Amino acid sequence: MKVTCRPSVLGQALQVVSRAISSRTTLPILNNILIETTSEGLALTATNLEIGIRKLVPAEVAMEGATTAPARLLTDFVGTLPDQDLELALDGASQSLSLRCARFDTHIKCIEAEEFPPGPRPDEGDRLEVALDELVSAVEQTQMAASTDEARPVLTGVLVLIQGGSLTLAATDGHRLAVRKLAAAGAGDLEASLIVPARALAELSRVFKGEPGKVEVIISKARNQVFFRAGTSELTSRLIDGKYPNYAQVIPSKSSTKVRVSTSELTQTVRAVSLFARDSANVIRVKAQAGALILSATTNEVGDSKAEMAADVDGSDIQIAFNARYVLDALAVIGEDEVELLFDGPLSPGLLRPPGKEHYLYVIMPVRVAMS
Amino acid sequence: MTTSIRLLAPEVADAIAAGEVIERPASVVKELVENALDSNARRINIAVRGAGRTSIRVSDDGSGIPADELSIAFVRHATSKVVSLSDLSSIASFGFRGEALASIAAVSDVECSSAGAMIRIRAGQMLEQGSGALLPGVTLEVRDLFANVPARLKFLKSDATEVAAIKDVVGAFALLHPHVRFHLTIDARVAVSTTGDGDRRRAIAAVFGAPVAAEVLEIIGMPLNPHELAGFALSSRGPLVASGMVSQPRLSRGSRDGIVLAVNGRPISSRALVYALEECYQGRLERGRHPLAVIDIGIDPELVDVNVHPAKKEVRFRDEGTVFAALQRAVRAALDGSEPFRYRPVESTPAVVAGYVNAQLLIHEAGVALATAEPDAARGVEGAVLRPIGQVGPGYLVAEGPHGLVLVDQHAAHERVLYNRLLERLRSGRGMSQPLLIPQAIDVEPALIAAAADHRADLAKLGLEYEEFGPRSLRITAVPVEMPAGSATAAVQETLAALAENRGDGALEKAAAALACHSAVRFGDILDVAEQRRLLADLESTEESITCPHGRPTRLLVEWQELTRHFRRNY
Repeated sequence: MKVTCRPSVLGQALQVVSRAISSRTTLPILNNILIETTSEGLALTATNLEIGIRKLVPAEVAMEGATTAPARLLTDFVGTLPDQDLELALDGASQSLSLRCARFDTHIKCIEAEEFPPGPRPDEGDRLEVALDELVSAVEQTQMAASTDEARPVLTGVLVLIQGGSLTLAATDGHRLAVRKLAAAGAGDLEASLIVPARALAELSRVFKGEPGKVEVIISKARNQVFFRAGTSELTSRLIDGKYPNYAQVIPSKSSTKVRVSTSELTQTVRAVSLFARDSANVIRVKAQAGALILSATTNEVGDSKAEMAADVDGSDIQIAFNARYVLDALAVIGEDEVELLFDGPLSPGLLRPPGKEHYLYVIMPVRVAMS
Repeated sequence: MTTSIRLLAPEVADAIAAGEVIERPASVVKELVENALDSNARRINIAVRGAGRTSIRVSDDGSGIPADELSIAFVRHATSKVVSLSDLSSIASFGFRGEALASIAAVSDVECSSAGAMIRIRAGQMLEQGSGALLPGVTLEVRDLFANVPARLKFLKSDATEVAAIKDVVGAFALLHPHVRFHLTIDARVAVSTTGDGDRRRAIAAVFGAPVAAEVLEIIGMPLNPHELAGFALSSRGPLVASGMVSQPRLSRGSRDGIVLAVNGRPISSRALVYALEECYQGRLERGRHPLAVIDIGIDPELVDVNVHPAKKEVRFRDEGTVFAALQRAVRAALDGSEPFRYRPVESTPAVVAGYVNAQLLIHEAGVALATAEPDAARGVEGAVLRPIGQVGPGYLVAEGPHGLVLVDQHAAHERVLYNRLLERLRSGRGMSQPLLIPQAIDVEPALIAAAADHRADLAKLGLEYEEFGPRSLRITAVPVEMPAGSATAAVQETLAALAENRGDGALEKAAAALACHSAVRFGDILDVAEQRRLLADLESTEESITCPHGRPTRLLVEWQELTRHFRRNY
């Protein structure tokens, strides 16, 4: 193998691909990045057997070949190189990769490419297309609601529902639920329900940074892998096996109080008031009455805080309590100037959504407190 | 062959009876020291040779035995301490059965001199009687113990064990009677030596060592509730008081050897009392660790029966519950003055020990050294603000406090904060819970299902709610607000296991500890500065915050003076 490329481009690609390498692995080969020559240049692949990332780097290929190099060392080293032509050459017999760039002449010990686990390739299977920015924002709006409880693996994933030509992402940890719909092209009458690990989706925005507009989503025939492909980048993930709970039934269908309030003002207020919600584990009380939304929190030895905000309030007055963190999580990603809150009594789930829009909703279970 | 029934020869009967009182050299020491204390001695010297088999010599400066009564003192049931049957119900002295001297005389060669008279008895037979030295008190020497009872001799343990037992006996008395000077020599080497100046902390230094003495907290009085007093008033002549010292949580032992309990100055062994004491340490000591304690319960003799066991090791309280409750209040009150764990470099230990050696030579200096370790000095630490510096290693917080650098185990600290919060909710009944949007079914063992059914109401107060969902699973409908969404499964299983394992007292506390453990930040979680500050502030305002609910320390104090010394900045 003998190729020439630019260290800056290679370095960036290595950094992204390294994200798939887990810090704790029992298989030494998984600490390495697979480097292969292709017709378009150099292909870099890394995997932790759950997710895999592959990126193509433009390069002049003088001689074909493949090997695996230690990810950390290679990434760190390439990152320090001046941006001049870098020549990579592999001595097949000793598996020593030489890197020549400017004044550097470096050799890195590698492991044969044959030892690298053959990853699944997205050759067959059902495919559809979505806008990249839409997908990235949909993931951002849902994945924070996924659970970290390894005892319930299903909830550590984000449900991706393909139905009627659109994609629905849903995530819940049992305390709150986030649901986001987005349009898909080429889905036809494809119907599928996938549970994608939230960790894998969290990599999407990084892997596809700088790639052009569309992402191809390919579901393997066996329905156990999903591929995301845009431009020269690729993310693969194993799917979580299991049955996702019927999230639709917890979305409130009616409300007795409807509040409309500025997102930034609400965010800032919740953040300030929750400083006084210490003893009560971040619980803030919310009161809606004609024209105003009142937030308050008290901790005996610390003090208390109360804030009144102007708000459009429709329906009956209500007092309800929430974990401030769950509220802030939603406000941070809602991406609208105003937010609509819907309540149906102090013990029923509350709903947050962009006013007048149907594509996103966030349900939070209120905290039950002894109201004094 | 038939044998007819006969009365035993007196010496045989004596030897049998002696077996109940005198079973090993340490029993001899105990009986003789008790006699000395009963005679108001201020100095008691004990010299032991050959692990007590060769000779035990006890001399005191008490009131002594009048010369003409010396011979009758060795007759069974001869005593100066009890006159009539009614006296038995209010025994204030150690001895009263009138058996000790007779029993000792039955199994050894005893020479006793007092008030200018001397008597020598061997195996119950008088050998000599005459005049002796005119010294204050009584000097009694027991030689050839068990020489005439080979069976008993055979069952004695190794010399080291017997010597240890003697040391324990003398040590216990020395701790309980700090105003009496005890001096024990084993084969002419000093084993225990107290000053007899009435300072219990110094007595502890002499018996357990100075490092221990610096770490014990004094029990001040034993407050009685008014309604309890009313119950006592009918029969009580004196108030119920406990005096003594208990170790702070940062000092503990792997055995219960360091627990010395007494009633009216008499060492007793009472499992129930030890249990009551150790209950006060629940949540302060790790499993398998035991406190050190010297506790003397002063109680009206009428309210306690010491005549249960020939060696008087066991006692019965007329109202055990009240005594235990009062003891626990006193111990808990003392423990509230506990100090945090302190960093002590290994090389500083010899210095402390040196201080202990000095304690015998230069009493004043030792007094000063011990005084600096008074708990009051560190009390200011509580409530003071800790300034977070950062997070180090996988899960330690570093903070600056008024007395030095404080290292905090973030998980243990948070666990304690949450535990206290949960207990508070349990007490006040004003729970807060986070109902689940999607109730969660979890599999549990049938035994735990039973525990779940029994404790539904209590756990609801802690914020955990569930319903049965088939024979082997539960449906969780609400969790404590503090619990992160991801921890419910493990938390519920462990909580129920704690309830199933610990029936009765303390079970709910264990359950709360399990919930707190699973709700707390994990060791290894990354905390930002705001979270660190919050955790440290919460820890500061939390009671019993020096250990987590499982008894592991939450923090370690590296004192400024320790740093000063290490960096040689003290010159």
